[in-house]
Amino acid sequence: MALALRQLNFKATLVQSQGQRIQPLIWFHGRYDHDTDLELLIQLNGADSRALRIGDQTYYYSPVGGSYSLQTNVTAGFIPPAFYEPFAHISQHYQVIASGGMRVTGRPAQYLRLVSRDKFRYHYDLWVDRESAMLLKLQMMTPQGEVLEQLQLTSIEFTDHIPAQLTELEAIQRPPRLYEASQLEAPHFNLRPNWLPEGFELRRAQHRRLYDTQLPTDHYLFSDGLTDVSIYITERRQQGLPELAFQGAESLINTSIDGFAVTVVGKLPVATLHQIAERMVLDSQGPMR
Amino acid sequence: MSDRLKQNASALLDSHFEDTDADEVHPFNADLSALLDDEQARAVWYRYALVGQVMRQEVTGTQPIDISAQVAARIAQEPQAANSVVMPSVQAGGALTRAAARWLKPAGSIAIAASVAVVAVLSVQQPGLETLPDNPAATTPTIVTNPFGGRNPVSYNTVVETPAPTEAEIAQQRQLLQSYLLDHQRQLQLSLQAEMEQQDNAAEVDPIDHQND
Repeated sequence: MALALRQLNFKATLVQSQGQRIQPLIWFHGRYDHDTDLELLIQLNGADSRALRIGDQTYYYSPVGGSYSLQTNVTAGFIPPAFYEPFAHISQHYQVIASGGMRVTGRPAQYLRLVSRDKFRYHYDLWVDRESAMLLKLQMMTPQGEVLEQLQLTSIEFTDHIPAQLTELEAIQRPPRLYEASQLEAPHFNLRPNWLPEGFELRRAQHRRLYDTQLPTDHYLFSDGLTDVSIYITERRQQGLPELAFQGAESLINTSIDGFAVTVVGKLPVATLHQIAERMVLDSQGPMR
Repeated sequence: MSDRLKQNASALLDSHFEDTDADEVHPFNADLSALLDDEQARAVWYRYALVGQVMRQEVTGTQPIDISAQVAARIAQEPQAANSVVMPSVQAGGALTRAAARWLKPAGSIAIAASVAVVAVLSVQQPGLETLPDNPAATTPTIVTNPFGGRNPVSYNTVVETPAPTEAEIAQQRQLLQSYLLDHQRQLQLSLQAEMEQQDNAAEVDPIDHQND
């Protein structure tokens, strides 16, 4: 499947649903040369948002939120980047089970289940085309089996050559590159995460003002290779959110610990986010995992 | 349809419609024309008129006002709808559930305890007219990026664990929550980018891994 997502030439339509929201998309993909694949995604409902990827340059066009580009070799917010890599990279925390076939998008498909080895993570179901190994359907669900996010191809057309829509891209304007804030600061507050489920590794740790609210915040980002979780720490009196929790495709909890407001966000069950927050420690006692 | 059109429909009904800039060529001004051309607006006008007639007890038997079945169906749906929103995925006591129900009410939603007539009118008017502000683009200020995957509505499966806040507070809190979700998406993308840069740097050190673009 990882290979198919990189190498096949195709034009597909699909729908992506999260909770009660549903978004149809058109998806073009083609292989330009040995190193470079091209991809174009167009959202069909609401604002005309597009994502164009040429090799490891990704351009996001949006009439509402501003356009930007990134250096990434996958389109962010679409298929989890881990699915562009062999399953071996995540098999330590997810068990991959092949369980029979099914007809999906009018094609015979292989049904694969990615079951978390502990109760802290969501599960994934994948349906992969038997002939081309192309991903046809994906769903993410809670350990209890409630489906939170789905992606389903509704049509796919494989072509010998790169789709014509991807061959006329030279004249397209490239939006500005999204860079890091120039002055990165280390976390300020003495409350810090001390426990995450097995396999989550620290990716980022910094202190900054949140862009939208200007709240001075410590931010930690952890990843287990498939799922990412953010932890935000702010002074309680500055933030003023009630204790709350919601579980969805992206879960979020907000709680207060020792005068700090702690907000945890990620594609994880609410119970996991609560544990992460509850097991945080004051001061620098105890090593970071 | 817009509130202005509704206002105009109401004004027209009460004969308060100001036909200011009408002339020989344009017997109706722009607002009135819009009202007359808009199918939804005409439907609203019809219902307003009907409400007025009911209130003045002028309704004759020929008008299609037998809505008892619809009302019954609507009432039968209400408790179920309220339950289905608060998912059992989060442990919630009775008080929490009620608090959640308050939290989940979109601004301006109407108490269900109203009289049957009001419920009936509302159930006719509501579909398609008001949509929940679940599009982050509409509820957040213009920001640097609107991440491709960062569009989760904050309005579902929410459980509030403290006393219900006011509507203004809820709107502000929604925005704050939304900003955390957006920031998380942005950080994910920056982290992906940072990873790529590291790989590139590693590739530059090792000349065998040279990339030809």
